[in-house]
Amino acid sequence: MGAYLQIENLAARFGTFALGPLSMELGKGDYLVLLGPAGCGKTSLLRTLAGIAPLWQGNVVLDGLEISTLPPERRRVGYVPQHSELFPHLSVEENLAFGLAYAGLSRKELKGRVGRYLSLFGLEAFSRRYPGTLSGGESKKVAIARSLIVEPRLLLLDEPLGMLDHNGRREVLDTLRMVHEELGATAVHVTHDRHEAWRIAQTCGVMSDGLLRQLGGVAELFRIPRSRFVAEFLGGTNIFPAEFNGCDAKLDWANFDLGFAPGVPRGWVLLRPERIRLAADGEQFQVRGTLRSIRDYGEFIELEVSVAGDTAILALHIGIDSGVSLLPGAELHLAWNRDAAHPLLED
Amino acid sequence: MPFELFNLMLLLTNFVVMIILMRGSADFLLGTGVMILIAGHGLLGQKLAPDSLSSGAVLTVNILTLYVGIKIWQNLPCRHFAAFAISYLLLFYIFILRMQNAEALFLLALLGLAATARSFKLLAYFWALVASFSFCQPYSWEALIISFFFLKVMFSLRGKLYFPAAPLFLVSGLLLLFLVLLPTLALMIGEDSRSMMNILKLPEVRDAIRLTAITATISTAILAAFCVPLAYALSRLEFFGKTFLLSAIDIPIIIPQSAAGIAILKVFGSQQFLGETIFNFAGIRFDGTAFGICLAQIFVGLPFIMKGAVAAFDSVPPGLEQCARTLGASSFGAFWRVALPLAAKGVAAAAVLAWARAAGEFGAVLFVAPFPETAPISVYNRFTAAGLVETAPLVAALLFFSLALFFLLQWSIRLLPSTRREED
Repeated sequence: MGAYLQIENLAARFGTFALGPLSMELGKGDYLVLLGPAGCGKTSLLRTLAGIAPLWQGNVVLDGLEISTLPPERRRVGYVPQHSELFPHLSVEENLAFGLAYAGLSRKELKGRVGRYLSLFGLEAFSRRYPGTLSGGESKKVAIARSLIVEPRLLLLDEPLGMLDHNGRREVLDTLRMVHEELGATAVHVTHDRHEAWRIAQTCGVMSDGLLRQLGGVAELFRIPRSRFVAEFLGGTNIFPAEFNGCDAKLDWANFDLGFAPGVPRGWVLLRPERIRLAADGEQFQVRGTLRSIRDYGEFIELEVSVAGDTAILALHIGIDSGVSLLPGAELHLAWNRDAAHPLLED
Repeated sequence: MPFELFNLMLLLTNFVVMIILMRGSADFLLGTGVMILIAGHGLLGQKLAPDSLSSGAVLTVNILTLYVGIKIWQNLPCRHFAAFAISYLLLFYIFILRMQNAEALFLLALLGLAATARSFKLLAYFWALVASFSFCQPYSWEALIISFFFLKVMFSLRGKLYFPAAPLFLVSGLLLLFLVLLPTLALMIGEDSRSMMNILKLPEVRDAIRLTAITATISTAILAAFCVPLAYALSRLEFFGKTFLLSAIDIPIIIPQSAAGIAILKVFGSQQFLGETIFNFAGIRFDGTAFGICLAQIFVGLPFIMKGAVAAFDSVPPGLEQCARTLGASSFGAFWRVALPLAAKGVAAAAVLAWARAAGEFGAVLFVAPFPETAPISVYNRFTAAGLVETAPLVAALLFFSLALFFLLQWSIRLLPSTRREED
């Protein structure tokens, strides 16, 4: 049995920008967060899947049905654009009812369904309001409800938390969790903000230049990034070029034992800042450096340590109760376990 | 008028005022002023007014003016008093020195001044009234309407702090605008309603108006039926020659209307190939028929509806229609339920303009179909046959009719939905 959503070699071209070829699979009820920098093709991918942007080649099979050749109205793919795009001439209620006109419901069923979704999304108070009078978060919730009310097989969300204030983000995030957990919707959510992936996703993908760089579980993606780009995009710092020799990684300021052989001659090493600690007295340490600066973020402290002259800089985060008086210029001994270093084999 | 009982009464009154004043129960300044006024009138009354009644009126008004002047002096910043005093002197100059025998008007003006002097805005309206009727004859009513409107505009200005140059531009622009609008206003105000009604009772005038309304409506309906979909296509599609097409739409505006008439005749005239072919197949002749009138009206109305409709569809974000499609609407459904309702306001405004243009078309219609007479042609024929005085009531009636219709339509368009976000 194939996956619920199966994308094979999908490719499209928009002006000079090329999307794909790109393949992936998604199970029923999965919530995928696709991450990528601006202009990486996230929105284009969604629009192509929704059928409102043309596809050059490839197949998209949704729930056993090839949809890539269908017009958007027959794909049953819900799309929530970045700017919500509510119909300004219709009230919230009428916006929700818009798509139901094509569902062949009786008047009573239609009213009932609209009422149910209004209460499900906490929108009863807004039912007669017009989109121009709603806040960003409210508009977004209406847009999500409007897409889901026609019971699409796949929900596409384009930066659903973008351009919202703090409260709006939390509200919409709660709504998205509800959509995922209670309605069991299969969703693709694109964003440039990795924190959104942590908060909601099960599956996560990283895109760049129209290509899917890596796809996997959220924890896997953050723990075991395959390439330098993915590691950097997911917030990794301390990425150093390295030469691999057997199980050893040779950096220009230190040598690491990776514990396994990467199998390629050179790549990068990601040294996780949160796994680096100040070595206790007498403990064996990996590197000696000079404290360059210190920043207190409240939850953690970030130390920037020069380890080899001016060139190699190491930033690290440690618990607040280190008990060491830290002043710039102090000499520090840094230690970490073997699993703090992770080799990145691709660029 | 000799020294008589009235003057004696005045002197007696003065005596009473003096007693009140001495008892300390009246405002000293006001009391003294009143005493001086009454004494002056009592002594010089016969020189100021022809009879005791007018003399009394003058006195009353003067006392009122004095009272207002003192109140302004006591309660308001002194620039108000300065404005009051200057206004008084100017009124005196205008009505007493410049116009002869205008004392009654002067008194009336003083009453107005007394009523308005407490605020600069009211004073400005007052002076607009005085100036309109004393300097702008025979266009005093027109001047009054225009100046009141102008003052209302200036007093309601917002944002001039941020854009100090803009009000100057506004004033200069309004001046030209008023100059241009003056003939219309003068024509409508200058004719009395009876002569307008009389002219509207003439059968040939009624026929002309009816024909104009019907042909313009048909032309607009045809224009709307073809141009609204075309405008949507132009707004949503890109193709070779689109820019050229958009410019070509302006041709009816660019060329002289007479040339448009000739051009239409050249193709659709009964002696021409296409005109003859159409006549042979459909039995429709264009020159000298209502069909020709419609054809000419469509020709001149086209740019108006196209421009507005294209702009209206351009203002509807295509994303809305795409959203509608993902919700199950077909491409046609998205047009019908999203694009068209949102563009309706602009499209309707454009259609009203096109209707007005069609109904008012003279040049092209004159060449294609001088008969049956539409209203503009009827005006022309009447003018050449009977002259300005005979034609003016008809034109005034037409102006009333078309302006009323135009504003009614414009107002009803405001009820349609729009893409602009409502401000709550």
